[in-house]
Amino acid sequence: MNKKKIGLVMGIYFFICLIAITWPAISYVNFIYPLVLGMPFLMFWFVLWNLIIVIGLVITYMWEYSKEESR
Amino acid sequence: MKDWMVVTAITSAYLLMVLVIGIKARRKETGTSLDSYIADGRSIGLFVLFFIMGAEIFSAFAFLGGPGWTYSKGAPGLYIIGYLGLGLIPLWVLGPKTARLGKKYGYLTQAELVSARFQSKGLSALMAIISVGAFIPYLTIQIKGAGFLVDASTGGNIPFWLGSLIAFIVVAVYVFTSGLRGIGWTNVVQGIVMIAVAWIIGLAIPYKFYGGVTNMFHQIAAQAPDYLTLPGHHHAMSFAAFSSALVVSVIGLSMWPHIFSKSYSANSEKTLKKTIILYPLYGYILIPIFFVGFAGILVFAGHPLKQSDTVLVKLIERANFSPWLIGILLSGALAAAMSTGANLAHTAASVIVRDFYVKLFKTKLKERSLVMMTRILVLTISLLSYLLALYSPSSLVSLLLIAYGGVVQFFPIIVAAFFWRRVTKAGAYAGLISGTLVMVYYSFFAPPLFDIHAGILGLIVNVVVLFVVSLLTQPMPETHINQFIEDSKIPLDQIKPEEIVKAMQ
Repeated sequence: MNKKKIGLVMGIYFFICLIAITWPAISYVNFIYPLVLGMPFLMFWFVLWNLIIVIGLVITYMWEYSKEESR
Repeated sequence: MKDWMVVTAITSAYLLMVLVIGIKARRKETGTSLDSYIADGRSIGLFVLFFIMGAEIFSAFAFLGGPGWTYSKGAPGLYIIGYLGLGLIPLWVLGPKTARLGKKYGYLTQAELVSARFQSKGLSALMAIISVGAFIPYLTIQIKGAGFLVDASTGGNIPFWLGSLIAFIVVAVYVFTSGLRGIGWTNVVQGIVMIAVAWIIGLAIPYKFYGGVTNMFHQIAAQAPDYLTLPGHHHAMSFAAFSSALVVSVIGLSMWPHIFSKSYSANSEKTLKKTIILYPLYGYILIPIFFVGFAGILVFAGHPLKQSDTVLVKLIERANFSPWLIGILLSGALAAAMSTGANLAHTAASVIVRDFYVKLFKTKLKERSLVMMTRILVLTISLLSYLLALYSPSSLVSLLLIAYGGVVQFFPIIVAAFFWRRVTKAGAYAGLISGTLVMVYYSFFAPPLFDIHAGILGLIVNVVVLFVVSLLTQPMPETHINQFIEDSKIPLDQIKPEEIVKAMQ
């Protein structure tokens, strides 16, 4: 049962990530300034969400295997 | 010593090193069992697997096509960073299931899994044909890229045909001798060289021409701002085209047979998942490469390049770097082409042997002969792609588009195989064929509807047809389905040795 819960929560998490980097969300961040880390804002937006995806994957991993060990 | 000789000497030393590492990776059992030659005995660890998976991204296309895109179109190139982040996530769910069934029944390829689920050899052969059709143009692009790089950085002293020939002889030799093990260790070395090279070029070029990355973007924003936001320069890519290209790549990436089949090679489920966690980091290696493309915008503003894919090479030429640096840069870019090429040739050969030949002709050949056949096919496919690279028509990019769209059509079948008991063989056939045809139609014979990527249009038809036809046909035998789905739920480390079934006999 718990596996399903993890799947659902993280599924929604990654779906939000996909929404964030496709239309219509990207039309709201479609500008150049401010430059962040030297990059135009739109480019930074993609770099940022890439990091959020990695964090999500780490959470999924830890969540899945912590349940297994406590069982 | 002339400059081009220095470049050639450094590159030759590099090629020699890769060759030695690739051949040394060979183990005693490599030549005798397919399991070992194709999946390295299902024992690959995180470190090597990460670099093998990365080879797909760091192809010649990334080093030449990536900057080419940002140079000619601008921001639309960002979709590549987007799909790298999400692209392997489907494997989080599908990969472990695939690995479990693979270990128990001896599967080594994507089509073997599908043909077992649908009890159909024809489906396996059909998938094999689509995959190989996708691989050859892709491999051809790598070879062309390699030849082109050598030609440009030696000032034409080593011609295109010779440069690509040498690079691919090296690849064919180590794949021939060491199979996946050779690919693994050479990909690690090549991966590290590529990452270093990407960052060196990516920071050195903006510094040389603009005095830094921030300055570069300030200047582009002042003189040519349309490059830095969507839809890009000259409306290169609408929001719909951008988003659907991103989605089709997210779905398609894990469906490439050479990516999907690496699920079998991992030594544990944890290794596979850790690889998926690290994978989005490849997106960060693309950032400096994109900087190079952006750098070209103002540098070549007066005289636009005829071929935008040459932007990286042209900038390096113009920057007057020392020949030592150019030699190292060339090695890195060659590494990108070669590591992908090795992977493609290896997977294409194993797909032909396992999914097509063995399935259709029920061969009783010894395993040793099958390994030999796979090896000979590695050479044949490399040679064929080399010839295509020499005499290819200019429409290779459109061929690759078909390839990608075709590979995406595997997705519904594979998901349904694991999660929908009611799916039938007829449904799988109908979905795959109709989806592929729709994709081909909107790629070549009609403009895509609403600017949406043809692969997505095919995918929608594919899913609907798969669903409807499955419901209209007789369900598949329940015991078979239950067996398949139950087996896919038993974790790898809980499969007992006595339960392992030898599928080949």
